[in-house]
Amino acid sequence: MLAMNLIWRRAGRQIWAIRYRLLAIALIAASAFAIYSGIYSAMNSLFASRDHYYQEGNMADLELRFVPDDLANIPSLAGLPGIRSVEHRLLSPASLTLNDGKRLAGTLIGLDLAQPLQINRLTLLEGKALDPARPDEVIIDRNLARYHGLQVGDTLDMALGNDNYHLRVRGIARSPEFLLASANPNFFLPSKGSMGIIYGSLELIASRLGFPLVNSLLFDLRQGPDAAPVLGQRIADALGKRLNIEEILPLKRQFSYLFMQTDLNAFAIFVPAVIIIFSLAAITITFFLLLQWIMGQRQEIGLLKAIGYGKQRLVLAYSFPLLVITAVAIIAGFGLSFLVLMEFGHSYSEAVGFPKPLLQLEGAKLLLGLLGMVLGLALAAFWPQRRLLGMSPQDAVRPARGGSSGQLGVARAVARWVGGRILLKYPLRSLLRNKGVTLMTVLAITMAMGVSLSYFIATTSFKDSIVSRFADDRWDLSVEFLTPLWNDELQQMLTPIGGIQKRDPYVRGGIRIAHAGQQKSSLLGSLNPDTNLRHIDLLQGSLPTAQRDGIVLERKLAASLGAQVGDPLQIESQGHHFDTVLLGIFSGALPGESYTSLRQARRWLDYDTQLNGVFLQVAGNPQALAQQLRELPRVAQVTRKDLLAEQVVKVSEEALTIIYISAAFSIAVTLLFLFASATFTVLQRKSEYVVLRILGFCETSINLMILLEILGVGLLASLLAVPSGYVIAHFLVGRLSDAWFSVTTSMSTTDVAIIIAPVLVLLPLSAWPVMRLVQRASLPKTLRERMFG
Amino acid sequence: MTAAQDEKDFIQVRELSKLFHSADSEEHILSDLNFTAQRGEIITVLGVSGTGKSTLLNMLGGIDRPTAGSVVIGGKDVTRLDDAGLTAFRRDTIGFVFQFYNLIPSLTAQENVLSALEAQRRLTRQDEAEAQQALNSVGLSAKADKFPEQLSGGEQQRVAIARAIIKHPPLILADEPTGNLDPQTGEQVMKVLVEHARRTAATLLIVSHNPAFCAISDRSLSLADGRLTPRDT
Repeated sequence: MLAMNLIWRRAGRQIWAIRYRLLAIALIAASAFAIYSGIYSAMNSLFASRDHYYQEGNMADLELRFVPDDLANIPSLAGLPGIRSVEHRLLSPASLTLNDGKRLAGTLIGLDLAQPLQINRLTLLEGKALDPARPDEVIIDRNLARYHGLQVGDTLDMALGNDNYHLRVRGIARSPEFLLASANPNFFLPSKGSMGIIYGSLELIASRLGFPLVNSLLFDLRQGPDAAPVLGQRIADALGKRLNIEEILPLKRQFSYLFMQTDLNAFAIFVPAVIIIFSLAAITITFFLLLQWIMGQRQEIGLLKAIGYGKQRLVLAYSFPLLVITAVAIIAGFGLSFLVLMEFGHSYSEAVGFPKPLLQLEGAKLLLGLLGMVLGLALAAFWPQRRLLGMSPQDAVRPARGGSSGQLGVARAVARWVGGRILLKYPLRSLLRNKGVTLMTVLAITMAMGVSLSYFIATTSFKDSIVSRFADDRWDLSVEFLTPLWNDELQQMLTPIGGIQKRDPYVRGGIRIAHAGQQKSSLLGSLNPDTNLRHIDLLQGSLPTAQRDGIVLERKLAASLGAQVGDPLQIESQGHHFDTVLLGIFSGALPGESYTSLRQARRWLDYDTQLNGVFLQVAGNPQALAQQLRELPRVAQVTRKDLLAEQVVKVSEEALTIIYISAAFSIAVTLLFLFASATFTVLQRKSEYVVLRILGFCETSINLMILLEILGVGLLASLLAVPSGYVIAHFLVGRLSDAWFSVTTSMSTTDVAIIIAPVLVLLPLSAWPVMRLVQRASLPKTLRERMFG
Repeated sequence: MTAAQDEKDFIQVRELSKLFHSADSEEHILSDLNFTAQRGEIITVLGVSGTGKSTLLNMLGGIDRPTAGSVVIGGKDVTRLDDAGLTAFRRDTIGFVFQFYNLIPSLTAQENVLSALEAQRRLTRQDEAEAQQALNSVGLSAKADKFPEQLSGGEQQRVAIARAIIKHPPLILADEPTGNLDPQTGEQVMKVLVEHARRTAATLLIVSHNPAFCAISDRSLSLADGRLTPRDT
């Protein structure tokens, strides 16, 4: 027992000597654990927070949107099976003018205060609830207050159709419906504060029209949101003759739900790669450290074996550093997991304008992360422990060999081929001598750099694909109107405005598409085959032309309908049925879109020669023209393409933060790998460097040899990292395309430079400590160690 | 000091002491040691293990520094040199032969020999010819392209000798040069070393515990209790 204690005591002392290295390894291992448990917990917490807010406000399981109608014409649906309750409301695009004169696109949600208002219930954050007696007092959404500085008591003007309203803010509220606010319903992008949501009484409009107008029904279903697709269809069928149904919107197709689901799932694609980097770092560095430590103790282990210590006792004692690393990593891992959870959860919420998330670490994720980390560390310790078991008592007396010349074996022929000065020959041949370690180091670094590089390539591909998508669009401004305009009204409106080169009027509206027994809602847009200002990223088939009309569907919509190019489809819109043919399938960010020619879209949506928006190609600065257009009556929103592209880049850059952090870490890991392997291999051959010093090689020459050895590994790994990164990126991009829209892999020199350049610049840093160790090595002492091949 | 004096007192060791410190004690390995050697002289220092033979050699060769005293070789006080000066001194003045050969495993026999020259200057074709010549002189011309692991112990030691003599150093220090070799191979190795020293008028200092070296030396010294005394041959 005493002898056992002696070994442990000795191991303890040695561990104290390498405590900082052990701490660094423990922190790397803890980071892998924390990224896994922290990010996955954060993602699940965000989904859970979304569900919490849905529950808090009793988010509608289903919404039915239809052409505005008199409330008196809405049939009662309360008796339909599967429906717990139903509420009606008005959703209307509006143009808001704030006190400082700023114009803003808005949506008025007119609520019938005579009904209980239990669905999409508002949570009042400030001020008072709506008062039926004060229809000009409204409640504003939290994002309108937050991003435009509106407070209770402030006033604002609202243009709705041809009417103007002067309103006073009575309260500020949060709605489950607007957990994220979209910049523009046409573009699948959250944009904080770009759309002002106002809740008012139906009376506000009824007082001018003389009757209450509604266009949306909210349903609370007995079987929850999963029943929405089937029930929605049944309800639409039942109401079809009474109302002109535009869109059936189950909860899972609602913007906040869909965007978070798609965005976080797309982000989740990157997470395993981040975890791989951290795990790889922890495993490799632990491996090097333990191997180096055990090899350094070789004679002592041999001696202990010679005097009768059993393998089991020795393995246990020499596992001490691993136990210390594991213990520290577990403690640090829990702390770091919490930090990652908080940082990721809050950053994401802030980036997309989500309310305060309810974040908590998940036990299952913590346990799995912990198990993964312990297994990884055990894996790292496996080979060094095997070496320990393989040592014999003879090792106590056999002189150690610094990277045995026997290892040269197969590499001998290659080694001979490496010519030139010894200054070059020695480091390169040394790499060949330690080919196992060299290969492992090169692979580990290639992997670390390759994975980092792949993030950047994937992100660049994602950004480039979006930007090129916008670049292919030839419009500069998109103008939406509060109410549909006739062609001649548009003409009249735009004629006095200079600088417009081309215009492409469009209509948009909800339709239902049926194929082979399946029926789905779709947001239909129009295309103008003559002007083609709007670009469609066609994957199969062709676009509608003047000669051949039909419809093109977004790929996920086509898949859900089981429709192929050339299939006949049935369209249901405004109470009418139309037959058409599927001309093509396209990739789009907004799921469920469809396009047809302007002529056909007008027919299906019953727009005659009306339009509800126009794409404009302008000659000069779109900013000034956008401002001019916003001032026009009946203009609800003007979207600038250049700002939209910027917005996309901004949103994706917020997600890039973690990628940058991972990349910085990968670079650090690369340098650590180099340092660890250099320490291992160079110090194993310290005596050879000492001989070179004795022979008279100066300090600079010795340093150069060490640097060349490390540079050799770094350069080879950097070269291999580029194709590896591209291959990994291609895989990630494929997954991104599945999750979002069609993304093309594209690699820029910046992507490569951002990873490779810092590594090459910082390479000498990882060589520096080894150089110092070799230079400071005592010549007589090293000679006494007799570590020569 | 004149050139003639330099030749006469090529090595001057004055009051040389070496103290090793351990946690709770001090050990005098060498105490106030004095001796001189002439250029071209072959000297054997005998002593049992642990008497400080290698320490003395290391201090003469600029590998280790004394605690006190001075070592003047060829008129240069080695003990006053800084690290860079010591490197240059070893490079230009000393040829080392170690008990464990200390060859670089990743270099061939010829490259190991050339490494002594490359430390001095940029190599030329002439240098390669010289390395081949040095290997010839130790009987290894056919094994120039072999790596150390492909050579026997005796052959490795001969490569080490070729490496020590190629730059024609005025002083060759040999630390138990035959300690790892069988008697017959040891004899061959010593023959090569002594012949070279005689031919080039290099001073050869051999430290060993083997009295057989006394027979081939001009002078033998005994090292015991930190002191150097002449030994009867």
